[in-house]
Amino acid sequence: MAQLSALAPLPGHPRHPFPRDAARLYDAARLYAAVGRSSFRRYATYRTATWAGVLTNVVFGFFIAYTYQALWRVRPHLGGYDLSAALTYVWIGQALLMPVAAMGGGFQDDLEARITSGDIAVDLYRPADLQLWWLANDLGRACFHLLARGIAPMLVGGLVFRLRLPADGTGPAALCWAAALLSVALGVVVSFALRYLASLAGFWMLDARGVRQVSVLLGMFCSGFLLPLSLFPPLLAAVMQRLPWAAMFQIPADVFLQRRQGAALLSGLALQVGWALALLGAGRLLQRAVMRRVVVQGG
Amino acid sequence: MADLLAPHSPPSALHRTREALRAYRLVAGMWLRASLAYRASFWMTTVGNAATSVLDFAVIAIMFLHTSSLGGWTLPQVAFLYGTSGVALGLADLLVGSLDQLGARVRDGSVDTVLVRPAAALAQLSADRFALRRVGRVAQSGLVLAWSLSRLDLSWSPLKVLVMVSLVVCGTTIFGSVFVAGAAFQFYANDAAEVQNAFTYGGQCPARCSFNA
Repeated sequence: MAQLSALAPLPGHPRHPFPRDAARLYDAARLYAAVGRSSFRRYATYRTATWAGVLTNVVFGFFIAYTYQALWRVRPHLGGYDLSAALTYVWIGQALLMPVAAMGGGFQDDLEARITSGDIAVDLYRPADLQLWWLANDLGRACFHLLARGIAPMLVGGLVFRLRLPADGTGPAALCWAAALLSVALGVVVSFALRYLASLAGFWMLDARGVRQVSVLLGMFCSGFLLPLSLFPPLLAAVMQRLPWAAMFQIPADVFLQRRQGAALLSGLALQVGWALALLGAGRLLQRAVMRRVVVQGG
Repeated sequence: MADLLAPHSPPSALHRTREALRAYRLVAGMWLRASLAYRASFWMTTVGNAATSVLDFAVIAIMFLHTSSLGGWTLPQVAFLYGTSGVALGLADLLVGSLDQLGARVRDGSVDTVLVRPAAALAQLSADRFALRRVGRVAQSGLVLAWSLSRLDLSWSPLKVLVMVSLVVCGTTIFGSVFVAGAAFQFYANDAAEVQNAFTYGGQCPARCSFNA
């Protein structure tokens, strides 16, 4: 903490050649960047665990890939995916499972423990915004997980199965990679916003596990992690495609598989941005309600 | 005084087992009462656990919407596999599932407290945060198993009944052993609770693979 408080904004600090507001903005940006970096380093500390996690992703990837292979052999082009696209879908799923924290976790463990123990009172006194603090923390974690848990499973999957990478010439392929990365980043923000809402429920329930479990459940099912949403009954699929969970995985995966191009690409990204803003806004409202009501029990 | 200095014969294995089971019962009972203190959350997690498994099975059922047989297996056959492994895994998870927190305990140092208490460490750690809500998964898998048995055309014999019983008992023991082995591995790799999922949840139906609720 000593390091971070050294970064707290100092009014009229002579170091900055900017006007005062810009200087404060600059200081705030440095603060949250430091939070993100330290979160990245924290997750990077446990190397064996990271490799163990990669192994887990790979094992699961094989299980699901072989099941999909059996299904797509019987029904080629099911849900609009050919076999190679379906297998790629599986491995993107394993690569993104941790970055978008589909099973919950990340900052949630820390925040919920602080709410239950009452340490949250200290956080509310800090000269930093609670939501932005944890968002920075979660983005740092997601960056690490994308690098450490995303690349290796894709490589192993690519060695064994014929995967579909962005194609159609260098230009469109590069655009697709860029759009997919942007879409993943938006997916992480949407996932953060959802988990933040679930964790803040802990202020009322004191034990947020129930809410968390229900939200993980909805997330796994509605995000397309288990099955592409287009395999669900049509009406259900149409609704699920527009829910925030689709923004966590189904949209980034379809962008990567070039199923969303042109207008469909833009509408997908717009849906992600819309949900990210709406859910972050809801998080702020809930946070304000919490600030007014919070009573820390005990001494 | 003389008594204390006299050499003790070490307690018998039977005695130690009985003591360990007693410690397990006491710790588990304490956590049971603690979890019932947050009643809304308790019911949400119990129902949530059952619902998680229902959705697992829904995914399999959705796959079978598109085909009548997958790799030569029909839906009732897959349901039987799902039900037996689900019940076994659910029971093992209920009994010793808390062991996966060992890595976190090693990291924050609280495992030392466990080691200095005069009770078996394995019993304490298995009963730690004992969660009755995990019954939800056992119940749901049991229902799927019952459904599959009603749909499969089986010619029952005493031997088959015996196999069914041993399936559940041995399955629970095996999954439980994997939980213990996975927990022991965490002494070497902190934070590696996930890896054992590859061998427990991963050994289950594919749809459950990505779950760890």
